[in-house]
Amino acid sequence: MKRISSFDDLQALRESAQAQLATRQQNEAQVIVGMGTCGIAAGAREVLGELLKELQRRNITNVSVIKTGCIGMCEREVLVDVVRPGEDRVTYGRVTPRDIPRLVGEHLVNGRVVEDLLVGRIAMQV
Amino acid sequence: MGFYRGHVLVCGGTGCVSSGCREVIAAFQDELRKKKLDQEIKVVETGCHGFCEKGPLVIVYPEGVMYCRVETADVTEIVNEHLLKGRPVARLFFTEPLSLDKIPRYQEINFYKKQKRIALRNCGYIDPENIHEYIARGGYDALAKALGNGGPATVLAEVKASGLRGRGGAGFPTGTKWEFCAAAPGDKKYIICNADEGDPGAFMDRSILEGDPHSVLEGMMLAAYAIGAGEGYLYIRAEYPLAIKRVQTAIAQAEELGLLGENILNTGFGFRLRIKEGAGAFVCGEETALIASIEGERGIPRSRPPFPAIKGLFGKPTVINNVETLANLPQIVLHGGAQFAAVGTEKSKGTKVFALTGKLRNTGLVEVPMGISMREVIFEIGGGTFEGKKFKAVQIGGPSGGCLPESQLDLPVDYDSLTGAGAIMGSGGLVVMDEDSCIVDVARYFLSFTRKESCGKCTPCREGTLRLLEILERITGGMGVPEDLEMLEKLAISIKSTALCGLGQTAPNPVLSTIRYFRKEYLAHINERKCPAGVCQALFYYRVDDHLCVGCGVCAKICPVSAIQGERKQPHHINMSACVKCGACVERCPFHAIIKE
Amino acid sequence: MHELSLHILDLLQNSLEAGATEIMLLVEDNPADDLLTFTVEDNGRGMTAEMAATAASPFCTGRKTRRVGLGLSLLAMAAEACNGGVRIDSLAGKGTRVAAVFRRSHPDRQPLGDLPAAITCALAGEEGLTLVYRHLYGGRQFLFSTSANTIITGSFQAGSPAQLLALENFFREQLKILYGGEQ
Repeated sequence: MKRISSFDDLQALRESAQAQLATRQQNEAQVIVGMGTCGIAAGAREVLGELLKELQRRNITNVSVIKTGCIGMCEREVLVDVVRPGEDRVTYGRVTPRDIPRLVGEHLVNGRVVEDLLVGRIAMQV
Repeated sequence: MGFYRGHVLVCGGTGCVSSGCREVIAAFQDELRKKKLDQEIKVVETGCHGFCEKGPLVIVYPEGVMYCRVETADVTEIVNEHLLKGRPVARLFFTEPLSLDKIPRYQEINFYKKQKRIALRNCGYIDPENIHEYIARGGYDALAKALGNGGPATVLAEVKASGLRGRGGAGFPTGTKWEFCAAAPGDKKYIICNADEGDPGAFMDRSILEGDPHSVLEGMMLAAYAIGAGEGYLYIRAEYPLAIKRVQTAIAQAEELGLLGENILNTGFGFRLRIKEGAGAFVCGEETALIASIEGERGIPRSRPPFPAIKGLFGKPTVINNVETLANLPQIVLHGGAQFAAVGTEKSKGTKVFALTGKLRNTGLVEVPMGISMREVIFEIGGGTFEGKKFKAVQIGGPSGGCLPESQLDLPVDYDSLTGAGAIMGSGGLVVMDEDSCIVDVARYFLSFTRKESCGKCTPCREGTLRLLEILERITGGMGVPEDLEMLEKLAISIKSTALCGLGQTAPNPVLSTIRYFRKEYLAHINERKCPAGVCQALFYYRVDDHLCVGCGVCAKICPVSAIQGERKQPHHINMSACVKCGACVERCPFHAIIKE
Repeated sequence: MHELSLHILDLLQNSLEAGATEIMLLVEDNPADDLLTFTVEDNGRGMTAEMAATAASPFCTGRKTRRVGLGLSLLAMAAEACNGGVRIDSLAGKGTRVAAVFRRSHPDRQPLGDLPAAITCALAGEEGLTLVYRHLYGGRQFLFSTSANTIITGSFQAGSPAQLLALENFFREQLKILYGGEQ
């Protein structure tokens, strides 16, 4: 093993070691917001801001908020995916900040899919 | 190092080793090789998960599915079904004791759900023999932060702000202790990790050393940096061979990476660590006795002051911190004292690890926020007592602690309210007793422990614990006299106020607290010559019910001392003078004709 | 896009998708010279010279899934509409710098918009990202850097909604001070 002689070395080692542990990262719930040019133009910034506020209001901490690029369904933007651990990845389309409390309250917390915004589901791979 | 799509974590704590985890690991490796999955799935031996009773535990990531009591015979099924076909094996899931639900994911089990893990954050999650995994989890980040910008004063300030108190028993504020030592004049200073865990039933220190040794090393380095020490000792009892081995590995790896030794991270700070194996004397958990032991003297305490922070190891200023205290430090320095202080109560901050043992459904190690009620710990995390048995008492803090009845269960768990109730936080051993335990016998047991472990230096402890024990033995032996209770209390109070060290000062706690809460039971032993729980052998006897006995002769055959006689097909009888009250006949009699009175 | 801050967010997202770990955002609001400029510079994977030259065209994209990429072209269009322009400098493996200039008083110049929300949005969930944000206005400046908050001193967590919202408010207040209450 190489000797660590600076803070940067330690950080570099940490990053390479983290990749090894990624598999063990407990898949906590995720909310994924489409943040491509199309998403931004359709209001993804406001949706994400509202999402942060809603999570804080409900004091939910075990959720990772992730951004992703364009997935090609630009006309349905803002696209928001909700993934609860061990369940399907559910994609919602044309999401506005007004829809966020429902997505969080119904789906993220209680596990009930919000049908009227539903675009599609991707089966979770075990 | 390749990327693995799945990780199989097998608990390699001492508890699981004794229930056969090594064989399970070998079986997994074998089976994965056979199925050609060994390049896709990695098998990792971790430290203790805390749920030793259900061991060997296996957790499969990325799903986080936990399997309990896995035997080698189950391995093929797990590999075939779960790892190959992606269908978790429900048969081996944990079953929640009350609802009987099968829970696949371990974070959703009540035992884990209610916990808040700071000191145990890495235990059972990382491979303790691989420093990279510790670093990946943010390890040595606190050290870098401390050395990089801040300086010793900042570390000290954070620890003071955190309100952390010693987790070894006495609960002295860690920051204050450091401050004394940092201010003490001396060319050389030492930091010692007290891993001389001796309370019966407590094993959190061992689990941390076995499961996450680097967190303790990092904690020691932070402490050393804050007080200006360049050298440290880990005092680990020799009965913990696995812990010693893992700490040795950890030290070697940290040295190889340059995280221990001279000029750490190019900052000029240097630190050396040594392991000192203790011979297993309970009194060596006391800091002055521990210092004497490291110095090569007999492990006996001396009077304080001077406190070790001023005059400790080899006469130099020394800080002694417990394993759990040290394991909290990296998190405090990394995330700030304020974040740590946000957990817990006004005077007791953060979390505490408890070792749940005794008559409980779920036993093991749990880390909970201070201020949680004892009831939540015992009934919600521990699952309560067994079917049909009534909760009676809980002994907190081992032989130095006290025994609390059900009426005290809503007490918040923190240093001060426990002391107020006559117990102590101690190292965090929780022994739960149900209606089948005799409270006087429990007090007698703990006293026999402290009497044996008393070093003999001071009279109150050496003679006092012996006399206390004699009286207790008299009571459990059916020879108690009414004055005994008063005598016990008087003696206990004088030992408490005159003994030299913590061992003697706390040894009478079990006696005082049991008298305080269970006086009736003492009186039943003394006045009625009865042991309500049916434990004290001198206070009950067995007899054969003539109407129920058919004379089958099974009891006579099983009796180890041939105390049961009788003709075939005639009622038998027990010879009282020969009977040793082992109870073997009761269990065997098909007609329940033997009665305990 | 009807706010310049959305274009900025788009540029920040481009940088993040290019694997940047350090991003510098400079916003220069200069009424004296009637100019509004912003620059996003990153240490991401960069582009080849050919690609950089055509990056502002809507038919240029780094993606394999589609053949169009609109972000930079929309920005270029917006800038050119108000007598400005976009300049892209990039070195493969080193990073990219995109600068956009606008005539400040031009009637078609979009408002700056909600910049605090845009920056917070870009930071959300990006653990380990160093963002330096510098905003100049009328001879005064506001400077913010997450590097003072990253690994060595470590308290900022990009995954924590509470911290992100606090940061957004901080930006809002600071910009208000910078503009002397004008905005």
